[in-house]
Amino acid sequence: MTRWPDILVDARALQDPEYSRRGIGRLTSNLVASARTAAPELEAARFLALVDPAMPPLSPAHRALFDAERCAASPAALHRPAWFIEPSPMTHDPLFVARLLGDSEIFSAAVVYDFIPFDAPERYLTRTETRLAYHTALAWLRRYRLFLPISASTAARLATLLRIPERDIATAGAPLDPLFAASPSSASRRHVLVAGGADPRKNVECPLRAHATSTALNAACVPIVVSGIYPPSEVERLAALHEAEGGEPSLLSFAGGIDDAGLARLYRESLAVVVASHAEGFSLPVIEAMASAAPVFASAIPVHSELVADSSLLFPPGDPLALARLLERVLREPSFAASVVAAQEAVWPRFRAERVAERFWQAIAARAAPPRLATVGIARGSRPRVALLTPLPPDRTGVADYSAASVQELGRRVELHLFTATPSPAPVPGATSICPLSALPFLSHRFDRIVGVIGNSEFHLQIFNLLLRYGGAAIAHDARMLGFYRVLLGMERARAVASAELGRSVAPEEIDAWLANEAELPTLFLGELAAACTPLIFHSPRTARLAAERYHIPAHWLPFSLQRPWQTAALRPAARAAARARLGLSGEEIVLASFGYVHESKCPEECIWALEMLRGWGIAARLVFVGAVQGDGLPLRTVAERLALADRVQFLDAYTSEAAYRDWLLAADLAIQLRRFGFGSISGALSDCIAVALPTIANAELAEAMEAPSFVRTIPDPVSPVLLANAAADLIAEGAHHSRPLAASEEYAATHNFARYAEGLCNLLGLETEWRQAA
Amino acid sequence: MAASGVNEVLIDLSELVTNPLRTGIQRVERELLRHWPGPASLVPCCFDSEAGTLVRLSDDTLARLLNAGGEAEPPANGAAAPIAPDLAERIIFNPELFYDRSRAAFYRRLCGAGASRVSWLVHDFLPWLQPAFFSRRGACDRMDYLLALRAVPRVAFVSGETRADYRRAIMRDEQSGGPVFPLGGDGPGLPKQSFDAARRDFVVLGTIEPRKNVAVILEAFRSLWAKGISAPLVMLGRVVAEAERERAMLAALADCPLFTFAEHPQEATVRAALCRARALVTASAAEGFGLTPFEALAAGIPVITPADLPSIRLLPADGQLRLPGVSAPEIAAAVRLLLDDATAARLFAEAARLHVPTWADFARDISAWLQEA
Repeated sequence: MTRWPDILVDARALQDPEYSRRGIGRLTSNLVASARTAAPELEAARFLALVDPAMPPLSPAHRALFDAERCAASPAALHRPAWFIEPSPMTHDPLFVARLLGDSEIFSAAVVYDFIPFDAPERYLTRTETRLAYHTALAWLRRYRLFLPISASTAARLATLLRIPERDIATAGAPLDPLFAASPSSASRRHVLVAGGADPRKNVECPLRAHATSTALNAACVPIVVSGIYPPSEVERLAALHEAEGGEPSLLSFAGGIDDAGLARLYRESLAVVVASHAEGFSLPVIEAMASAAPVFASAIPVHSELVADSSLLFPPGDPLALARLLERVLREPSFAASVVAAQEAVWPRFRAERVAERFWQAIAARAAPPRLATVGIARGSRPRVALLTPLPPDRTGVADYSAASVQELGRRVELHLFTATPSPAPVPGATSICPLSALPFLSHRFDRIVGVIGNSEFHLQIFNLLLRYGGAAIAHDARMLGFYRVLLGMERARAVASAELGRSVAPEEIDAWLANEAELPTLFLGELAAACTPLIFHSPRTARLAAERYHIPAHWLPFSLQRPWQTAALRPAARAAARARLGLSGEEIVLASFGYVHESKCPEECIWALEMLRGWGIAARLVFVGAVQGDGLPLRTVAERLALADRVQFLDAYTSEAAYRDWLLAADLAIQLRRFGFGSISGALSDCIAVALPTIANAELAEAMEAPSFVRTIPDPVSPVLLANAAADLIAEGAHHSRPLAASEEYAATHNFARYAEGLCNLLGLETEWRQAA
Repeated sequence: MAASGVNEVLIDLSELVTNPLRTGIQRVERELLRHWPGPASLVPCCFDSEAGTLVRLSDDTLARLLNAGGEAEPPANGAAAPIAPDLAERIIFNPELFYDRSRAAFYRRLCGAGASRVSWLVHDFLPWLQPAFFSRRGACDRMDYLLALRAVPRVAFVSGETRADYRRAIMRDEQSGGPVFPLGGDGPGLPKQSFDAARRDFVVLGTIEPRKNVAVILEAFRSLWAKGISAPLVMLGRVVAEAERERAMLAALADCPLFTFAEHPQEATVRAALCRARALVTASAAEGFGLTPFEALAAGIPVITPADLPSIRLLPADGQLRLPGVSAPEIAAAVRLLLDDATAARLFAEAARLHVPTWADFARDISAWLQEA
């Protein structure tokens, strides 16, 4: 079965106002627009525009050229086979697309224009940073698989300079705008047109001198027109030069910023067109003149020799007299002009836009390798290398603990390198290396996959920014990112994202209102991640479903793993009794515990009210919040006091140590784990409760997100203290608080462990692992 | 002074005084005031948070409360006179649901001090037991009412379902709670209606909120209209903020010739609509009682209704098309049945034969219960 390629085209030239309507922008749009006609085998290919979110958006016309947009160069976002086309490799930041060049399954091709800055550094690379940027781009240019120079001269220079084998080079040329190929007008040809431009290499001084010194041209009052845009000072300088050489000032004019139609008219009305440039990668004015049936005389440089076969029509760029002789002959001998035009008639059609596109796409189609069948690991004969970007312990975040816990199993399957912003990270068994977080993994070709771990806290800010810039796989621990945007990225960014996701302007007051009441949140603030990250992975099926619906992406669900392993023996009654003793708990009171950071969003006040009801029903219970408390916890303490429960509600004021946390998991009779807001949030604390077979009450959305076993009793959303109290009373009436349903917990652990998690993650990353396990 | 209170029942109307709306509970209060049979006099009061106790309302205030009901009206001016501080001995009746913490604390104190004649009428426990129909926030703000209720010695209910909830989920005591007093169906004051082929309208009454499943009713009628079936729908009721879907649907139907909607109807408008009704349609997913179908049936008007409404379960099935579930196809099918004149005439005749409790019945029973305290 034919598999049509995904063709990702760097569209930054189309975003850049400097280039979008001319030069590389025009070439890019022509190549994409003509692709399906030029190469019928691309009929069903998917053309994707790679856009930089930091640049202006594509115009509607340019956007219409593509089937979709991508905002990060993530290889995983492409169906295989995949091609990457870079129409302007030396223009914009090469690091933005670097990851695509390191992927052996992506065929990459770059248009190459010239090496003029390299050859004239004294003019173009005068500043250190410019020089550095140019050479960086040059180094990355070597990594493409196919090069499509716009001229044979550039091809030759490419082969010499970068030592590119001839087989990897296909000269395509540059396209002629159809406007210039219109039928020549019958208007009289009266002026000499000089292809100019503010760059000194255009060498307009030579034709100006030729014109000024030519008695015949002056006598015949033949005007000379210079195209291109010049600053006033330069116009003044050139006019002075022309006059100083004896030219009649009234015969010299500058076309200035005329449009293409005006320029085409100038060509058609030219007695002759002069292109005197010292250096060019291609020379569009030469073929534009030819298409306009104007005799063209060009400087004797390699690229002009490709286009003007008759060397007698070339002049040394420093020889105005040689040029003057050609111009005078055109004036004097109409038959000469006609013969030049006739000879040049056969040249320019090769550069019709469709011909260039044909050569371009057919060269790529012919050389693009079929998709490789082996996985990256097999192909290289070693385990795949994965870079995991994540906070690590001792950062006090549950995500850091979870990532660290996942490493051992993941490290069995892949060569795992951790990149973290955590200062002095603790050793993590299973990791091949732990490195400071940077863009390195995105730019290095050492890594087959890059995975960023994202959460709604400051520990993830740098990872978030890197993923947005370079793309990659993302594991999103949180179901919504409102707080992250508002607090860490600022109001304006939050507004911009909300406005984009909702398709309307969002006011600052709305953002703050949502922050105060997330129940009203109309979107998830995951749009930027969804656009940049492939695959985008969630631990909750509900969040994955919501993200897929809202962002029209294939969001993936990877079931959350139990994080803290327990031996069955450690859960026996004697061990539990010992834990209670260590915590100073009496035997009579029923201990209800809520684990994890105590925050308003986890319904702690509802828990206190439920305790009040339980005690009102004669159930001797106490409530313990096992986790740090938001702020000073005063509002909760006040509620407890008002309900005369101050001595029955316990807050652990310090960060709970691992040992104390585990003791509470053993000692508790029932747990309560709640979320006020849905969106499919998950809970590491609930996972811990399940691991120790602790009968727990959770709200329905949370239990669903965790695929909780039956000993997790669910109450409806939103949380009602009455239903919570009744659920607890029912469990107590059933005697559930005396039992630990270990079999159900073990059954859950069999499907929610890090081995399964690692396996699932590898599958989502397209890293097959069965061969290694068999080995 | 103690002797002067012997033949008085203090009724706490704080919500009615401070926020007079056309809610179902305030309807109950007004009907009780209108139909109070004695012999003890009913003394309207409200809670004064500054004084921390009940105060007696003036006759003027009472008269205005009886006639109030439009949401645009300003709150009635409250208190007039203090009540002697021997409240522990008095018959105090609260028929309201409220979320005022200080008022709840007042009742807790009173009951905690041994006031055995404090009596409450409870309408439902939907905010606590069916939270999906209510805001995610505020669950704890609603708890003070329950905290006080659990201390109240005498509690009556408007339906057996509400009492069952009280016993099962609030007290966890199957013996707790007092009697059930069904509400009256004769509030609109309509004479018994009879079938007339010219009666074509299907009427929906009450607040428009997600719990009431109004969107399902609208869907049902849209499907009928799309098939060219002429079934006029008249919808009268306030749209609550949470009813975003319903509001959008109502806006989309603004130009539909078969649809009439009024958000703030006067009593006369409601009565006129019922007088033209072929049937009343209700689809509520949860009710403490379900007054509107009760009232329609009392006036001899057939109803399309969920089978499990507490009010409907009090009555034989006559005059009703009871729906086992609530879905647009089921409602549409019921409407089509009622468009048949013979079927409609039969249901009208059945409804006319029903004996529906009246507000006088309700006031008499409540009065007796309170005075036996």
